[in-house]
Amino acid sequence: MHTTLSTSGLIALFATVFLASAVEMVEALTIVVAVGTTKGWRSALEGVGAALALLAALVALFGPTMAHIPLSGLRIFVGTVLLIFGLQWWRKAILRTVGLKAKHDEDAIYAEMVAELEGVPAARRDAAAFMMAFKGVFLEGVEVVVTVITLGSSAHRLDVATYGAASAVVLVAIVGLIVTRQLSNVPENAMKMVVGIMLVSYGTFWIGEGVGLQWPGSDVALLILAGVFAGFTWLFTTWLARATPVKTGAVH
Amino acid sequence: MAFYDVARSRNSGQDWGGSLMRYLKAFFKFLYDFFVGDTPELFVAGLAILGSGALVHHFSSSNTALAIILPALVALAVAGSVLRERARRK
Repeated sequence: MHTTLSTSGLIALFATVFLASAVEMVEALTIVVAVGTTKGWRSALEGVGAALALLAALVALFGPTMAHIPLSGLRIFVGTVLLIFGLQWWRKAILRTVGLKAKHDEDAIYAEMVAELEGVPAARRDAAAFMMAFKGVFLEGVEVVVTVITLGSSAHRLDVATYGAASAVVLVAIVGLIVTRQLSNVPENAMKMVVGIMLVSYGTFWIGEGVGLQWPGSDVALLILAGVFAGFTWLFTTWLARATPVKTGAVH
Repeated sequence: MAFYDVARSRNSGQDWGGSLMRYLKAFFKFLYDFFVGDTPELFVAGLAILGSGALVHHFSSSNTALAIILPALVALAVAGSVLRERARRK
C-alpha cells in the first residue's frame, strides 16, 4: 500500500536512504578491495555474495513483517530506532568535525587491512579473506537494512527506500571499480553529518506522530526539523571548535 | 565472540543446545553493540525522549508545545553526549 507522501517527502526519503547506503558501502568497499587485491578476488567475492544473501534474507523476513504492525506502534518503534541510530551518527560526525575524533581514513583502513592479510599465507580458497569480506559487507550492510526497513515501512514506501539503497550500492560499486583505492576522497564526514541529521529528523517526526502529535505543516515539518537540527549543528560545532583546544592523536 | 564468528567455530560435540545458546548470546551482544555500544546515554536519551513526548501529549493539549519540546530534547541529547565525550578526553 502506498501512502500519499508528498513529493518533497519522497525526495527526502530517497535522499536519506541513498546517502546512508552510500556511506556504508564506501566503508564496505574499502575492505573488499583491500581483501581482493591482497588475497585474490575469488574468496573476497564469495564473502560479499554470502553477506548480500544474508542481508537480502533479513529484508525479506523483516520488511513484510513490519508492514503488519499497527501504524502508531510502528511509528513509535521506528521513530525510536531511527532516533537512537541517528543520534549515534550525528554525535560521531560532530566529534569528527571539531577534531575530538579522528576522521574515517579509508587509505589508513586499506593499509591496515592489507598489512593484516599479508601475514596470512595465501590459499586457493582463503577463509580469512572470505570472513573479512563477509564481515565488512554484512556489518555495514546491516545499517543499510535497518535504514531501508525502518524508513521504508514507516512511510509505507519500502519500494522508494529500496531503490535509494540499490542506487547507492550500484553507484558506489561503479565508482569503486574506477577509482579503487581513492575512496578517501569521498567527503564521508559531511555525508555522515547529513545522514545523521536526516535520521534524527525522521526519528523525531515519527515519535511525535506516534504519540499523537499533529506536526504543524504536516510532511513539511520533516524538512523544518532537518533545517533546525542543521542550524543547531552549525552553532554548536562553531562554539565547540572555539572552546576546544586542538588535540593531536584523536582515536578512531 | 561476535555473531558472525560463531559460524566459524567447529561444534565437535554436536551439542546443539550449547551451540544455540552461543548463537543467541552472540546475537544479543551484536544487538547491544549495534544499538547501545559505547554511547549508552544516547540509548537512554532516545527512550527518555519518547517517554517525555508521550507524557507531554497526555497532559497538554498543545501541539505547539510538543513540536518545540521534542526537537529541543533531541538537540540536548546530542549536545550532552558530545560534551560528555569532550570532558572524558580532557
